[in-house]
Amino acid sequence: MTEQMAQKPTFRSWLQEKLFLGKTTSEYLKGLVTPFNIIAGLILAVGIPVTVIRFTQGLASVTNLSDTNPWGLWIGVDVLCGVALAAGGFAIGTAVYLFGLKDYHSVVRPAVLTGFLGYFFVVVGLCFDLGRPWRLPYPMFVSYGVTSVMFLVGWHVALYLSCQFVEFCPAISEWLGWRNLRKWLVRLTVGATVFGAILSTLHQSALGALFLLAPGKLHPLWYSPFIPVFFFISAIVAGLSMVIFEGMLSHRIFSNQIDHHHHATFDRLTVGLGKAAAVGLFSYFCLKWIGVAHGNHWDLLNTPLGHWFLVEVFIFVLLPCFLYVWGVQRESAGIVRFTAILTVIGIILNRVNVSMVAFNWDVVDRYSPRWTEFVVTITIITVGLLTFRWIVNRMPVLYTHPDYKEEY
Amino acid sequence: MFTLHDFMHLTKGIEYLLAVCFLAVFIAFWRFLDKKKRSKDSI
Amino acid sequence: MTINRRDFLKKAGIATGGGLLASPMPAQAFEYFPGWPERFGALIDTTLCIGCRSCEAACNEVNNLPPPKVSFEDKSVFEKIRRPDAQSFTVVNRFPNPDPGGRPIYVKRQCMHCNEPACASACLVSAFKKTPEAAVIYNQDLCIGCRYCMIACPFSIPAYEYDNAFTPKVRKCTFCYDRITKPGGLPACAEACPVEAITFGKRSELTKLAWERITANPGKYVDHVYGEHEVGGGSWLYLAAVPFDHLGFKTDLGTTPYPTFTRGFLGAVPLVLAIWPAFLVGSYAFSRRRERVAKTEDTNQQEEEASS
Repeated sequence: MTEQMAQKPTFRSWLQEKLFLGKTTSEYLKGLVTPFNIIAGLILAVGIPVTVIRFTQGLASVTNLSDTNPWGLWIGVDVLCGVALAAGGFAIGTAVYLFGLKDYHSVVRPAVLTGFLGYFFVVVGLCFDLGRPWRLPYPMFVSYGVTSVMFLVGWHVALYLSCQFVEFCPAISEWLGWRNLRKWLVRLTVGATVFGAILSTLHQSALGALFLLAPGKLHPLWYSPFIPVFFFISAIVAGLSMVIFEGMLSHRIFSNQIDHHHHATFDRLTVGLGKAAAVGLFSYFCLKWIGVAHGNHWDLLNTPLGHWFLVEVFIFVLLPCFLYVWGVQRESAGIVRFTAILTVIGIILNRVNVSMVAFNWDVVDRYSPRWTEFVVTITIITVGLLTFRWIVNRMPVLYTHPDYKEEY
Repeated sequence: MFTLHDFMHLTKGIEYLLAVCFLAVFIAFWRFLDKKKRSKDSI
Repeated sequence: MTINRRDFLKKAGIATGGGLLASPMPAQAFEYFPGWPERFGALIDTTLCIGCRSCEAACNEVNNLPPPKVSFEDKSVFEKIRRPDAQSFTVVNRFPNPDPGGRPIYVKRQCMHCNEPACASACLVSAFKKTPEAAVIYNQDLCIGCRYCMIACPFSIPAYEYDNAFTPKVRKCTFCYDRITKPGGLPACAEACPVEAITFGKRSELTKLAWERITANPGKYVDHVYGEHEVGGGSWLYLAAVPFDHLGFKTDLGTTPYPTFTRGFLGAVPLVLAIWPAFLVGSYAFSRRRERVAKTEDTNQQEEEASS
């Protein structure tokens, strides 16, 4: 009799299993009361009213943006940092599916999920910043400003989001048990990865290229015709470091999902990712100096902003490079994980420097973010984390779905 | 064509269209080139 | 006279060859963009301006801008350097005259209506257009509010309606496009100026006029017409008696038109779109082949071991 019952689950019980992890509604809601959730709830309690004010009263009500400083925290952090840190999706996807590094397969899905959610919440952040966010589709469907780097950013982010979604869909179809859709989606993976790598190259560098139109406003130590290359290389490094960082957190928080084999090999994979990041950081370090040489700005190094440039390049690029190398030599995942955090901070620092510190550096009316801008950024990150957790708790991201084990 | 801007507007439009067409044609091109031969020494 | 075949072919050959050689389009790789030939311009002679702000008042009226917080007659506004904002498309600033006893110098600032506008280059929905009449005009029906135009403008002119929640627009001088496109039309500021400090006309004639004034009055003017070549030149030109950087003008902008700055990167984009597929699909094919070869070697090895 139990067999018969098991063969015909009702839609309600299916929904319960998919959404509430098999618990009853009251059980599930009780289980939601955790310290993290309480903090998240408090953040949302402030964030939601600020959001309502922003959209009903205009940007001036919640930001310190001005005519001289049109871009602030939401562009500098939510968009620029968000896109750089979400680059792991394309980096790992390319490494595994195109360069054939099959042993990194277990990190592909978490990386793609980070990439997909990263870009998605970048778009959310962008919608806060745009004057008329409902016109976001305009550069795609209404009027084509082909002379603009921003046009490229818009198109590529939109296409790339779709790409990452397609790359993540196999996990969704495994969750929902849609075998045929899944088979068809898997065949698209290589094509989606190639397309995603092309798009990533272009929009990561395009975000840097935006600043090519501001030679008078961006400090010469950060302004360079090579800024697109700087952004691209640092994005790869940021993506790899985020995969390390996210993996470290996931393995601790969701350790019950991960089987013993994955735990054992994870440290080795971490060290391998650190090795790749070390190479990237080393190249990036050299590139930054080529940029200084290209403009012959050596004399600017001995100014306050010059000193800040040295801090960014030595403490947050060269030092993590050496630490990664040390971690690889000692085969220590611990050192690599610490370095990943330092690197991520360094990339955030670079994007903040380019967009807010070195930008308009010599202007009287300097910008600094209002507390409500921080609220929105933190709220978006919190919702992103909650979404990540919701998905990881339900879909086969950190483990291989038992029904499809034979394919891996 | 009196301004660089107008010139670029025209040329970038054509360049992008060409590049997108290339991508589409490339897929067909690759699939044709990569067809499985019955012999064992295919790349 | 009969024409035989040989003669005919000879004549046809010469005609074709001559036609090809004498083609009117010279083939050349370097580019030159002269700008719209009949475009207008405006020349501001800062030695004439008396700081009455009639231009600001006229601009305010013609564009239906909200009444100013401080009246146009109030001279206290000169205590601070102002910039155009969402309610003021043009402002007049006052600068001290280095010549003791000399009258202070007043400088009107507004959009320069550049020949190669950075804002038009930056706009992802082409909301800015350089018109043949010279005005750089804005289409509020396309704008999504990304404010990249404000980042791009080297003169930091475009302003934004940050306190408008539902219909925020970029705001800047329109060069009175509706007025100047009518015969005999003048921008409101030029018409209102009581001392004719603003001269409106064809840009090509105004540059001549500006240099004529400089040569006819040796020592009176600085030997430079600001706006003639800066960032590729614009339609609003300035004459001054003191160095322009003393009057709030940026003098280190160079002469490169702004679209040039992103042209290199934008050119690389289709190249990446065309080259990356080959490189990436190639890598995929190589790695797949490596696997296949490794597998065949494995099975060969296993067979050998099995048979031995």
